[in-house]
Amino acid sequence: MEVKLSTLAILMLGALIALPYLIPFYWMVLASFRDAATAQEPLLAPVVQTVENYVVVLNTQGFLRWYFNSLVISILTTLISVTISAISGYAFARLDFPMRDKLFLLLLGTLMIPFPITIVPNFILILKLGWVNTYQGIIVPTLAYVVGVFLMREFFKTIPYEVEEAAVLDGATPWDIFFRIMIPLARPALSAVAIYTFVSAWNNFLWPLIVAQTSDMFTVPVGLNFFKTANGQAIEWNYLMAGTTLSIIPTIVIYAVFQRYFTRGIAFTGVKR
Amino acid sequence: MAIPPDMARILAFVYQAGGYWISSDGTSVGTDSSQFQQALYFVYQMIKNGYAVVPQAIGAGWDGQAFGLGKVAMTIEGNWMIPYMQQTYPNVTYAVAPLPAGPAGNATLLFTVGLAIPHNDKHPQQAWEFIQFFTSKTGMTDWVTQGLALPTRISLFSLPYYSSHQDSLSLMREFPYAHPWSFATANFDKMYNDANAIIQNLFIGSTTFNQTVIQLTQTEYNDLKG
Amino acid sequence: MAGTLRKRSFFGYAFVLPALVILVTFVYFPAFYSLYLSFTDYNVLVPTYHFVGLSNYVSLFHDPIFLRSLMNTAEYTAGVVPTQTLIALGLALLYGSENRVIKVLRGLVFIPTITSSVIVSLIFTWIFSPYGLVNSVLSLFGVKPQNWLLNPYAALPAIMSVAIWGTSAYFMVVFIAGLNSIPGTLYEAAAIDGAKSAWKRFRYVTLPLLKPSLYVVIVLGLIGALQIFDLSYVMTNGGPGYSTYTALLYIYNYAFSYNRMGYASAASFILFAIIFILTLVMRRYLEVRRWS
Repeated sequence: MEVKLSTLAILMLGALIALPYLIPFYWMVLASFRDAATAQEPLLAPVVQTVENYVVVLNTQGFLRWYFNSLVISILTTLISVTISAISGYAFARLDFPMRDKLFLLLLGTLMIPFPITIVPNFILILKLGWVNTYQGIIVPTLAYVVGVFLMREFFKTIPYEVEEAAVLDGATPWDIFFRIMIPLARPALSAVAIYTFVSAWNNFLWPLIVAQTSDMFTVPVGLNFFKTANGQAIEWNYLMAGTTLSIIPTIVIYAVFQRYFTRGIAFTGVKR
Repeated sequence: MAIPPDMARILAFVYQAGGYWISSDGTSVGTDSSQFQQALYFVYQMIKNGYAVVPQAIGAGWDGQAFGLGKVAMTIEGNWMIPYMQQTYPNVTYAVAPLPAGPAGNATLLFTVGLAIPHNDKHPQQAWEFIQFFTSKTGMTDWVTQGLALPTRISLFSLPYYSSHQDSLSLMREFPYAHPWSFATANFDKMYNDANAIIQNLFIGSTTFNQTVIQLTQTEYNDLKG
Repeated sequence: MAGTLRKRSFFGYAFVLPALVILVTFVYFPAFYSLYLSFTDYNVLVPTYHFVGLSNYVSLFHDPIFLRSLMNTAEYTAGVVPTQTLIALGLALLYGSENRVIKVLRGLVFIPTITSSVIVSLIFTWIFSPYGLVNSVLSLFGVKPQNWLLNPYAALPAIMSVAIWGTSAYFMVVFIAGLNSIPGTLYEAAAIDGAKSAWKRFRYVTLPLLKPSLYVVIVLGLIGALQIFDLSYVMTNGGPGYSTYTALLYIYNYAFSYNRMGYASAASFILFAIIFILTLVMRRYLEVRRWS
């Protein structure tokens, strides 16, 4: 087997550069198995002193609830988001209706109106709706910043007209065309949007921080931050690292299984201009 | 000793020097008084001369952790430390002592808890019943014997629990000269955050003592006005 | 024919309605409402509010902490965006190949990007602490242990490095896609024209054709950097002494800690204006019209 020197050099460099990106996580897992006294030592040897940290964290009031909240919010956000992306993307790509392109320009507003300016008015809005400290309060305003629409629109534009025309000749209604033909075809793109949205929703911090008022409505990121400074006393490092390790598991699992969908989504933003 | 740049600790020294931070009617601040400066300087000197440290400077998240990890010999905390030490650092032996008196006498801080029912609450009756239970003899006994808080009912001072928890008892003996952490100003959060930030600058050596006092007084006066 | 056209229009509107409703309600309306609020002294806890004209804006410009937060945000952005762009480009060149091992490494390097900013903040709070990894490594070179997050000059750079660590892989993917979209034939043509060395190929073929990706990376990077909140909130909470106080943190504190929503709206409008103008400027100078 011929291995070029340059290939070997790149491999070694690649492995070296990857280290700083991975060591923090390695240390985090290590610290989660240590006692409070030694958790902060920069030891890199994998020593398992105790599993108790995980027990404490899982028994800590609220932690499982935070997990549950994050799951509910992330799943709902993803489902609604993907649906909206699919139908809007399809409509803007393939359906003809008056002012379609002008309305599409409206969608670009999400790129030009950044999130910070919406936090105060949106909070007042959900306050008046009685949605403070509720799932809908956390989910609904974030649906506006769905960039999946653009991806779906680009995707649907690549589907040849013949597909639709053939379906129309067969007597299909617009509903049929959309649900029976377009959606199945769009599955890879939809998956990309779904995966990306789920992880974004799971990691979202600022808006859930604003909306959630009581510990039982915290999402995992909000909870971890609260965990760190509960009642003005910092939680011990080993528990904190156990908590973060547990919190990172869903994203790592999803990432490992659906890796290519992530890169597909991001790559799309870069190439399509 | 570990001491954070936190008014919730330094204020005890201020009272011991005979000064005050926010006046009782909430219309003025006492940060430019000689007593306040004396107290602040006392703490600052400890840090400057290495007798005290800011917890983060030695890698601890807060002063209690610095103490538990054995990185400092003492810290200023309250009864909530007792269950914390028991749970997290059970192997550390320590004792509890009241703060020594200052030039103007004894003083310490007291942090209180208040219960309120929102006016549009869905279950006001149950909330009220809870408050009645919580503040009753039986209810209060229930939660003070968990160690995180001290009772407000004098009758509970002689609970058998306290004969085996002398540390809590010694803290309760300071009630007569303990100042509650409550202030008559609507802008308290900002005043607290700003004061801490300015004092933190002093403790880490970014500003001089005089600069700190001037900045503190100016900022606190501005914040008071809102 | 007219019947089907109207029916299609109905479907068209029906399909885009949800997105547009949410958009108008939670993006456009807030933008205007925010402007309106910025001229009032609205406080959630107070039942009535009044018009105060431009006094919020005047106060903002006289508030040293607000000006500091703008400066910090500017410093942060000026440091993070170019650095992460360059690093992302470097990563793309390093991890762009189709080699199986490289692809695995590429996947690993991407992990910080999908990790919650809170988790990243917590881990790096330790890494920068006096007993943390940074000091341990630097002590091998004889550097004295520092308290990075408690040092007003080092805290912001520390946070900046965390940001770059966390996002460089995201932009690496954009660049890799951009690199892959350059036809190989162009390199052959360039080689024939005399551009034989790797550097020449990079300079005359790769770089110009990467302009669209560069535009995306810079604009997205800019918008993201100007809105920095999570890291500064969790790692240092704006300290020490306001040295990591960023614009969005200022807005958040005034709106939700001090409840002064009118004042916070004015601050957020200023931030919005800055982001908007900078994005327009970038678009003017960087956007490449697609070859027709």
